[in-house]
Amino acid sequence: MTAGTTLRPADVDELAAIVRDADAARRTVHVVGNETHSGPAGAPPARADVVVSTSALTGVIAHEPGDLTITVRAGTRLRDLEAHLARHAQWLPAPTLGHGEASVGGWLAIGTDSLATRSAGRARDWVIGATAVHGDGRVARGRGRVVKNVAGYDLPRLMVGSLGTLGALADVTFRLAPRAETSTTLQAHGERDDVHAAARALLAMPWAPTFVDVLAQGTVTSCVVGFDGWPARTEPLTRRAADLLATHDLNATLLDDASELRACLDAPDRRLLGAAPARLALQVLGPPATLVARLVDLEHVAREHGADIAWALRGGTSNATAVIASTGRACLDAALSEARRAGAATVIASPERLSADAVWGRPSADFALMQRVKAALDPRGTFLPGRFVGGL
Amino acid sequence: MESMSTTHDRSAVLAALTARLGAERVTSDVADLLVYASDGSTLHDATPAGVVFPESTAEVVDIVTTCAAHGVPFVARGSGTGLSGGAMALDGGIVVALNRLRRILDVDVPNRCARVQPGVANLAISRAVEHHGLHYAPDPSSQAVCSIGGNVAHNSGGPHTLKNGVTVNHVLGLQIVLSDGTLVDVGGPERPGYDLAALITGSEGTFGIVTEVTVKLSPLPEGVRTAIAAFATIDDASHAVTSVIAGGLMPAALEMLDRVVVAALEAAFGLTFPPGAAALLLLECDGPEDGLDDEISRAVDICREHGALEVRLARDDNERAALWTARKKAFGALGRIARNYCTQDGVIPRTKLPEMLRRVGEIADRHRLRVANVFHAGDGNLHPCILFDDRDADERARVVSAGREILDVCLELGGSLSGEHGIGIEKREAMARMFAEDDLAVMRALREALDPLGLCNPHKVLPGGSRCVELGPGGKQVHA
Amino acid sequence: MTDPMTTDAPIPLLATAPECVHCGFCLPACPTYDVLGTEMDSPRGRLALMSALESGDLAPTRAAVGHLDACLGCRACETACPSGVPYGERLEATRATLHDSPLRDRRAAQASRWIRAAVTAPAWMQRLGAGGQRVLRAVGVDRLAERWAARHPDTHLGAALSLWSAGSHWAAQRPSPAPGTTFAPSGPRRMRVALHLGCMQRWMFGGVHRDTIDVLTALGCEVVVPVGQGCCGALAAHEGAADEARGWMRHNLDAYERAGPFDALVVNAAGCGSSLADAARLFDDDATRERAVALGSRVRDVLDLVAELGPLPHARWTHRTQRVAYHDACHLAHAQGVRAAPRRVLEGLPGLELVALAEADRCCGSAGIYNVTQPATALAVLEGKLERLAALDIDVVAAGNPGCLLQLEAGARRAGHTWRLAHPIELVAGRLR
Repeated sequence: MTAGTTLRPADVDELAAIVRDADAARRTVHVVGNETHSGPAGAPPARADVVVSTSALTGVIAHEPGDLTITVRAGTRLRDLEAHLARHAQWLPAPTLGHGEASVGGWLAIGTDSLATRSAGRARDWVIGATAVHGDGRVARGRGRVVKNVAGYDLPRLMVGSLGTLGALADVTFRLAPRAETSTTLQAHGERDDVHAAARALLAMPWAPTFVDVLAQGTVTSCVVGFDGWPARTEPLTRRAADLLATHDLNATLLDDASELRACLDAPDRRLLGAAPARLALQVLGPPATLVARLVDLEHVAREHGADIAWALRGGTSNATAVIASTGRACLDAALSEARRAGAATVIASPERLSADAVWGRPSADFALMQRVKAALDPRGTFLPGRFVGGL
Repeated sequence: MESMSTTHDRSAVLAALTARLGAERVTSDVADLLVYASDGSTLHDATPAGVVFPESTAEVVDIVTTCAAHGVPFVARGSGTGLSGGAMALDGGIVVALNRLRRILDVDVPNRCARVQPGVANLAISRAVEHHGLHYAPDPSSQAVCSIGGNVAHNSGGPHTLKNGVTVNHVLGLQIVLSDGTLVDVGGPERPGYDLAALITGSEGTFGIVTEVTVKLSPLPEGVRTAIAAFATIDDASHAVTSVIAGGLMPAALEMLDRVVVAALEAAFGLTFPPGAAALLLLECDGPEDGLDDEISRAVDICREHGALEVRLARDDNERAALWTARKKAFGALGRIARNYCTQDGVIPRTKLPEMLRRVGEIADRHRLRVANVFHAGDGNLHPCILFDDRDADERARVVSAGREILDVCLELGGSLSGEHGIGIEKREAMARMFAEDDLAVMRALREALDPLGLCNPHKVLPGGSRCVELGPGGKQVHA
Repeated sequence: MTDPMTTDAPIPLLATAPECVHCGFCLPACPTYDVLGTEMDSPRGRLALMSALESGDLAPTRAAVGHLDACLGCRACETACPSGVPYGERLEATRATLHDSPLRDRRAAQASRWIRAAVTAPAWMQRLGAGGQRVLRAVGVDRLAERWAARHPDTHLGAALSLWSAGSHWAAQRPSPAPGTTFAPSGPRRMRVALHLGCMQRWMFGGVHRDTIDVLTALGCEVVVPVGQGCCGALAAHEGAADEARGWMRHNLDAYERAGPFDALVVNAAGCGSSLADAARLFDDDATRERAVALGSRVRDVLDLVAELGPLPHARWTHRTQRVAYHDACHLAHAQGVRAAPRRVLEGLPGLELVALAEADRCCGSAGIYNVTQPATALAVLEGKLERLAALDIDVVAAGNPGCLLQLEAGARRAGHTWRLAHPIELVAGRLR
């Protein structure tokens, strides 16, 4: 990064002024949160003339517990937000265990989904309003503070997962959920085929666990099932899940303290193969039923290159995470090409700097439309040109 | 930016399309245009230049390309159940009727999704997959009629969106014809990039015409419990709603009906109303059988704490179905008590419900109008229905004023102009009261980026910029 | 004004007939919207056209008239309509104003007139016609005609001929009872009922009338067949020939008033039953309306009455289980609300298994003589019905209306299906023998 000082605006007006000035001077802006997470890795920005941190844009703007909505500034740490909500027995529609240090804005810019994506929706489904500063310094508020709203285009949702290339989030309004009274987590190790069959069976049940994940580390494969709710619901459901696992020859253990495991599954890219120094973390995207086979293929490639691999599959969703303790460029190239053979995959962490195409893969058919969207919201390419898919 | 097509351009488009599609599938007959001048709303109408009936995606591309070549605007129309005038062709545009594109192209059970054409009725999807134990979750009241294309255009909700989310949460991908005739597959969660499918969902046809939708299929809940609670005042019922939500419960639906609506439902379906009650609350919990009785009884207890006169659990599926039929046909049943009605669609923060309803009553009184309330109480989405007689011009004018005031109160209380019916033509000008000029400028920039020709459903959603269209309280379009 | 939210004052209902509020719930219920796929051919669209014609906002055009004529009149939209718009009544009223319009399809109007003349012709002419049919059959002309009709089912003549052929097995059954006859109950008399013979039903479905009498007398009814009765006028009224319909109905009012007291006017054709039950719609003067209401209130569909009178004494088993699908005639289900009774009666018959038919209350395309006046659309509507029937493993399709029976029989023959078509009362009577 070529920037010198980091600017820390204290409110949205200051943020807008910085962007406006940069835009007028044809300087590029890189907005950072708490810099806890750089990925999906993103290609290095072509130029980052001005670095803006949201670390001074923090705190709750409005929280009406009865409405189950909260508006917070983009620099607010997720951990602080969770702590605030906990005092009111609420949380975001699902806990964000693995990302406590991240800022709300950074977390949304990456668009990381939670462990509970299958039952509680994706992070973007929780955002009901936002204020953002776009390329020409224009401050635009999209949607609002009510849980149901179709007035105007959904700008907030467009911002989620856009990696800061369409503008800088200043504040965000979330819808909330009552905090679960109890949470239970089951883990069952076993033969790989049994684990997959059990996970499929659990996912087909109409009594929806919060999550059904498959975790593969070394030669060990396990199925992890979680429930959140209140005792009258979670206890019988946990028993039903254990019974079902047993029919697949899997012995389920009810974990006393699953917070570590849940956090690992929530942010597997950072926690799997925790000790490996050089890591290639990939997000494998595609239709849920195709993911297992793709991960197994990826495993073969890693092993051929003598690299350790671990992966976590978020059952019933379109994404899985694989981490390879990479041993070099050949392994990296082979892994990427395998991961993209039957679908999309993005690089979340890499031992070396990669081009945009290497990080994101070749753009999809709707790329031309994405370019038009980028041109509309950031006409001069002020926000991190070259960083996102296809060099957006 | 806006199209200023001439009569000549429109005739050329219709002639070209007639030559290729046949006279049966292109019409500009005065009687046919009269029918296509309105949709589900009764307050407005606008006569299109013609109506075209494509039967394939390729034909939609052809129609759009032809319109683009002559600078003639177009608007897609599904089943015409929209309530904000979104499917009306302003500016002498062409209506592209998509109701014949009604095939379910592919059902993918392992991946829990289905690819369907836009004219498929919402309920038809659920019917087609119910034997797999799946359904398409968003359930607008008009779900037996309304098309999935229309749902995508409006990001439609429904009673069960309280728990299940709205259309955008269940759309995985789209195929769209842009105004220059380009056909694009727009992805969702399975490819990196901007969430364009989500941007297009709810854009009310202003970015192009959606020709295929990939929807998420969800498992049918294992169990359902439905209760109906009667309250002596709307206030009591509203407080009960707030407490149920704040009490940590997540009901599948929380619907409120006032006594005017119930009188209509009584006439239409024989639904009975306990004497002395001013509001009915329809509560539904669904999910795993385990804990379900506990959940509904917690909700029922909360209703009792808030002074419910009577709480009754649906005894069986038939009784539950009867309750829902009544609720879903509630708007239509208002025809029993008034010649016409105009449905509002404001949203307010849940805790403001009692205040909002009081003020709706005051507004109605001041304008000497009757209002019937039926709404999604759980998410603060109100549907005050103003009853009127369209033959009374003065009353029509008062309906428009009252509607405007109701929306203004929604905004004043921190809410929104629309929860699910869309902005369309009806609330277009009100957008300037909800959003700042810069907010709208950004939306306008997006619109121009995606529809540089300005031909996709012009004059909808965003305010101003309209040079040749005025919609007066009489509702008839006036060409300047 | 009083606030309805805070007072207990009753909410007044609309004093006039409800208007269409554009909700669109009628669209999926409408068979012609389903096959034609245009809003003009939907109930909501047709109501808009009717209102515009009535208000003068729209001068009649060939297209507008065509869309109104393309309506089956099945009234499924009335079942679907939450507002309670009296669609059928409005359609008849609008068609009456357009009856002589040069904008109507002349060949369809001609076909309609001919058929009405034929089915309402004096008995001696009909006997002559039936004799002629036997002669034609003997020399093989009927088979030629049937083959030609099978190749041209979408023409007026082809449709008429194939319906004619479809009726042959009914026409060969026992003849209708002569008016003026009285049939005594087999046991103690429980009630006295009058039987309406109708026009086409009388001529082609004598066996159904005989079965009706057999079943009702077995259940303790004295059945009279009043003299002087005639066509119910439904075909004319649906067509917009209001004067003709009124003429027939006056005729019937006189005849049934002369017949002396009876507890019910039994009808075994859905269309006739609906028309007679709602006879008052045809008259403006209070005196005649009063008479029409009095008659209408006594109209009973035969299956509805059989369901009330209870199980058949000595019902016999068939030698093997009969699998039966029941098709709701529109003018039973939508116009008269008779849905459960026929099913209950059939289910109660020993050795009969009622097989659930999807969308049983969707029109078969017969719709009076619609299948002759609008043959192409009628065929398209029929196709869906045949597909849903073909998905079932059944021996018999039962329907309580002669028009449906002919339409379904003709369709089944063309498609090579082997089900037998039967009026439900034939199945009931079959258990007596």
